[in-house]
Amino acid sequence: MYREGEEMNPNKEDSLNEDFFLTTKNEKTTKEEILDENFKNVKGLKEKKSEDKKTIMKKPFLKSGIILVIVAVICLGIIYAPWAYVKCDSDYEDGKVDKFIFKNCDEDDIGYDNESQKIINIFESNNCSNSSCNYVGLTFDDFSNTPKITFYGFSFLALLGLIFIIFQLIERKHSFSVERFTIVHSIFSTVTIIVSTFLFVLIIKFFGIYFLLYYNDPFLTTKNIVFVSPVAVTLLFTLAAIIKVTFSIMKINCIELEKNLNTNEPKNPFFIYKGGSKL
Amino acid sequence: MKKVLTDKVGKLTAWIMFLSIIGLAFTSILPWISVTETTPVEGELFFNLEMMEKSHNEDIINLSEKINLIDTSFFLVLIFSILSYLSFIIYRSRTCSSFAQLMIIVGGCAIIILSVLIIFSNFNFIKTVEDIEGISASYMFTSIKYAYMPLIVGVGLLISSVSYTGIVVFYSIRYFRDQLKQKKSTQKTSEPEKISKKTTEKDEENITKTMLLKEDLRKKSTEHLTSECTEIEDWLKDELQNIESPTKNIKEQMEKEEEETKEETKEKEEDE
Repeated sequence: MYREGEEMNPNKEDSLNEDFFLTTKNEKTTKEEILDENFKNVKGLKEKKSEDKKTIMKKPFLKSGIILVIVAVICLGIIYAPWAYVKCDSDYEDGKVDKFIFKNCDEDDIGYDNESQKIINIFESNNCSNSSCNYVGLTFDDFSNTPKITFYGFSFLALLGLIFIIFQLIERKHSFSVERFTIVHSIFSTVTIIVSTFLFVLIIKFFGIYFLLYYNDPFLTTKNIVFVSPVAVTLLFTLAAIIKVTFSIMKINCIELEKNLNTNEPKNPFFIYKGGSKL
Repeated sequence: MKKVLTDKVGKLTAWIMFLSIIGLAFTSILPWISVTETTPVEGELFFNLEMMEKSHNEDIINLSEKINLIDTSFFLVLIFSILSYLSFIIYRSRTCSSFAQLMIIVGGCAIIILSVLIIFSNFNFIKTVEDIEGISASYMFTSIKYAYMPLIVGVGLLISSVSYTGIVVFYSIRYFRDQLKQKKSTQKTSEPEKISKKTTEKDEENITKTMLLKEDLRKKSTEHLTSECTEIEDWLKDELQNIESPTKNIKEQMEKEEEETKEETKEKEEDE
């Protein structure tokens, strides 16, 4: 290490020590650099995982379930409003018959006087033809059966919304995968659309009366009939809105899933439901 | 390309849904037939589906059953369109893609069959109405009949369902082809994939390994340093000894010389 006969100075002692370190340093630095890089990478991965967990905690609560429950409850209240308002001419001077028809209404509820008989004749005529006694396509049974089925239908929709809210609360604790959550959300949406369409088709027959009032006018003994069904109109528009919004939610879910698959970004529900799909 | 495909499928499904709902509305609203009546009033009595179902005439009841078939077909089209769109979403999520794809194809085919059934039963209805005496298909104007309205909707459904199924089938064929290609590629590059799968498990192992290696390195470096230091100390001691030894000899010689001189002086003094 040192040449023989070489004299030792206090300054040279330090330089010798430095030489000794230099030989080992090159080996050490390469090893330590590699090790440090690996260490940093692993640490970075761990930090990323912890960040992802933080974003999941920020996940928003989807309002579609709550909105569905609110709308269904409002519609359940609307069912108790008058289903039809009928107005027609009376035989008496300046006399006009106007009646509100509520749900579960039948002939007994309308009355047995001459004026009420005119309204009964609109729905079920006493002077029957060979083929039918009903000339407008609606009977008093429709005012009892349709509200009943509509009541069950909207109750089911409210229940569906509640189940979805409960599912979301469970999901917050267990944190399912985004795909699973989207599928469950879409299944709920599908059931909602089917039930809403069924109710839509059930209620739309209240509009068929306008065609038949025009065409079958000669057969009707009561003249100048005005028929308005505010409940049917309100429920129809509400159901159409529910169908449209639910389908658009399904569409947005599909597009967001597509985006997630294409970008290969970290899959967290906060990213999925950004924009308008928070419904 | 994929986004365009999703948009197309979404649009077609929306169209199918819209047409089926319109068809359902038409079947329950429109007056399908008109019957010439003599009592109580002479004239034509118009019938919609509700009226036909509650009629006393057997021919009219039979006709209502045909319209009911159209009605249920429209409703089934709606259900199948929503289910196929749901399966499309499931397929996009890649949870059970093969089952979802099968459902999409089945849904598309079912919609085609049902729309064909709607058109066929509509034609059949118009024909049977013409055959029965006293009953005719009710008309909007002199030439156009109300019964043609659901027929037009059925034709629209058929066109949109054919295009929907065509896109879906084309996409599924491409998907299966891609899968086959992927399988071949995975067979070739199976080893690197295995390594990539194990990376997550190795992350934690790497941490412990790096920690152990660092500790080892520190220990080795300290040992190495201590050993080198002892060597230096020994060398310095030797060198010091080497430096100290000649001085001692000189001192001894000097002392000897001094002693000798002292002795000589003493002898001289004694002699004198």
